[in-house]
Amino acid sequence: MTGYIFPNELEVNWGLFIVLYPYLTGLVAGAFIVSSLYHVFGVEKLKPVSRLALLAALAVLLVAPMALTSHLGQPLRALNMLWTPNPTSAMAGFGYIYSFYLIIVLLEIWFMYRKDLVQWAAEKPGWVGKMYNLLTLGAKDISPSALQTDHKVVGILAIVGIPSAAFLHGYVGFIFGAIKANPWWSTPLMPVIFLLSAIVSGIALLIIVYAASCLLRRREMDFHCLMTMNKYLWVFLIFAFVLEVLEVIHMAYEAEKKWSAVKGLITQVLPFSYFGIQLGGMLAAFFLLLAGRWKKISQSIARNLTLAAGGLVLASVLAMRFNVVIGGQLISKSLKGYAVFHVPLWEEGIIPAAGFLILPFVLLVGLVYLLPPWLDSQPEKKRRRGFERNPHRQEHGSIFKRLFPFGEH
Amino acid sequence: MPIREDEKVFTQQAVVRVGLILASVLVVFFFARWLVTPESFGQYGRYRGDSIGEAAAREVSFAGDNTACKACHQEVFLAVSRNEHGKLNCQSCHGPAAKHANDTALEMPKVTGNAELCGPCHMETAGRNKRVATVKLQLHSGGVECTRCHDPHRPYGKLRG
Amino acid sequence: MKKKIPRREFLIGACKVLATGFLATGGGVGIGMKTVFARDGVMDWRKFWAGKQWVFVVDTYRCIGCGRCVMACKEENAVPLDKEVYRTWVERYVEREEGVTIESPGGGLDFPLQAPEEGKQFFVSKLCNQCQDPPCVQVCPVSATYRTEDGVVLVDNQRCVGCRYCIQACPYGTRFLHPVTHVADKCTWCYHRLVKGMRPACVTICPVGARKFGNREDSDSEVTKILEKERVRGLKPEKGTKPQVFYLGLDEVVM
Repeated sequence: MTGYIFPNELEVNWGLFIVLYPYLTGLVAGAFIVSSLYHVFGVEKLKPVSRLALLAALAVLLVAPMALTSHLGQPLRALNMLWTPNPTSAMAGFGYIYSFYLIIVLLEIWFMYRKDLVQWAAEKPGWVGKMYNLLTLGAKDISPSALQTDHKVVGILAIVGIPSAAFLHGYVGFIFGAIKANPWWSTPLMPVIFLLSAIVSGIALLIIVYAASCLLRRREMDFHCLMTMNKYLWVFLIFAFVLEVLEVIHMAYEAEKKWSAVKGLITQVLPFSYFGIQLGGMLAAFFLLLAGRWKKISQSIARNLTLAAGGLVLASVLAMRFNVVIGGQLISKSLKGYAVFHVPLWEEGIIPAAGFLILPFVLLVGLVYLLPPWLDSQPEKKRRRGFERNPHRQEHGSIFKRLFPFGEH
Repeated sequence: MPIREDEKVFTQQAVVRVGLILASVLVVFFFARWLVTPESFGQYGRYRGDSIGEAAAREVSFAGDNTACKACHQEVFLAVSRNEHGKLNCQSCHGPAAKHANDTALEMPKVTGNAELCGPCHMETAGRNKRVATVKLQLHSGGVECTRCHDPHRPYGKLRG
Repeated sequence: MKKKIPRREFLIGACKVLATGFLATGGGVGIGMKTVFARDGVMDWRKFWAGKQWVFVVDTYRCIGCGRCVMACKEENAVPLDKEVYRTWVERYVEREEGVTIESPGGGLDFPLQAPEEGKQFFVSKLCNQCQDPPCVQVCPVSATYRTEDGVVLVDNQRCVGCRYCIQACPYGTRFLHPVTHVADKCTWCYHRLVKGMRPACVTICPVGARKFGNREDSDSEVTKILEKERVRGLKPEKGTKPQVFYLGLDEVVM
């Protein structure tokens, strides 16, 4: 503690679990948007990760509320948020929005896999077959017209899912941005900043997960798919970085009473995690991604650069969540001093937090075994075609285009 | 033709199954909400009305004023009421007394007349105004107990010389 | 009250099955039995609230920083004395050439002895401002905190989930997570005393009359007279919370 803080501020009330929560929902939103890029906007090159993205989103989505509930003083009462929500609360909608979004993701996955589920139910022996049988919910019609419907429904769900994912995560930003008591949180930019950092973290997650899956399955990575993710990550990274910096520059330029407190926070209390990891990580990732798309380097270097950038972005966004959630609480509301954050090992400490970070991957492995998402039935290297000179490839079969056939008739 | 195709979407087996499941989830949700929402919720506003009564039912530790003290401790009360400490609440020094006032069989905790009790008001320190008499403890008494010289009920009348 | 009886019967029936779960859900304070029985003896709160608007006045000129209020508050409201959580606390401001020193060790129970100096020096006590537009009530996700019509913000400690959003939302740092009940806790102006016609414990115990309390709608009350005659202000008016603790002699440095 330096300077003066109110006595009740000695305890940092929102700890590591609340750092993880926006991180995890951010990964969900980002992964979902990658999957939608294929399903809605017809970015065909993302096909190899489109199903994996959705499974990853589900795996992380299931863990996010665990972190949240474990943090509560009375975890057994968590559902009060559904029973007696307070309409004026920026947090009360969480239960509903989360449930809605979970349903969307589950349904999209179900319709996407329905044909496979029916086939597996027929093929697989013993209890495995029975389990798939149960998962079909008895809807075993796989006639062409039924599959056509499935396809349509997946498209609709993906379209509904984009604003839902954006809303779920923008809402998390609003939870912080709408707190006028906190000088570091209170800004209307917060939901947008959260959303953009969510998208970059989700794409980065998919880059890493896709690479890991290829490594584990001993398949060659689809280079074009990876470079497409590189491109999207790079573009969103620019927006995310600009907004995050803009917020602070704006605060500094206006130099209201709170600025001295915020300045002290980023320059003296959190300089390493703010300038070093959060901003530095983004900048470094920006250049690595750019270098990865340089046409004179070999594919394996380009791949490694992209992977390194993905890792950096994941670290940077985690640091950003930490700097927002913990940093905001370190500034005393007296604006006269800073609290100290002690990271415990247990309780809301490092070990269970690491558990919540690992758990989504464990779930993802389970989901991948249950619902193999691989669409690359061809053996490795067949899809490799050297460099694509023209990035504006024609994109056929986009559901977006089929649903909104502007100018076609 | 397109209209008929759209109609098909909603009559497909899979869509109907999912629709039924979602509808039953909603029914279960509303039933559960009806079940677990407290009866007094919304009685006075958007909160559980009974909770006001619970907040109000908390036990009182400090009696409201000195009336109850006066009934039994008349002599002390007369003495103290004529001097500087006359306007104090007895419990400012003696501690919470509501239980003792209700049931005199319950004894009050003993008050020791040392600097720990007098000091918070009477030791000189930054910020403390001169409305109360303040002393530098070491210079004033050298650490001797305050009650060796002062009777808190007659603070200016010294006990022994 | 719609469907009152069937629901009650249903609940009692379900109680046998759910008893364990229910008690666990109640957490620290113990739900269930008390809630059900308390209903029969309840008063009509609207009658009690009628014609009452409680306000609190802190006279910073009088405060001597003795900390009796902090002690009394903890005892009256079962706030652990050895934990760094406070429903009320006292701050000391000592202005020197190099700047102002603010401190509140032990919530104001352990001010280090320090020779008075030339500059401005004073004590300021803090407590819940029972804002007319309380951000804590606005943000509570489960409707577990509310402002009564006589002007006191209370916490329903049987519904609070302990998410601590209210603690974040309070601009004054007056809320905390109770270390025993694990729900949000705050100054209630000793609502259990108000109901019995008593003043808050800190007001009762203050030896110098630095804390004053009363009904603003009662034109004879001390606080009404102060508010009508003196120049007062609340903390952080720019937050738009309309705090109902008014300070006499509040220095600009106090946040």
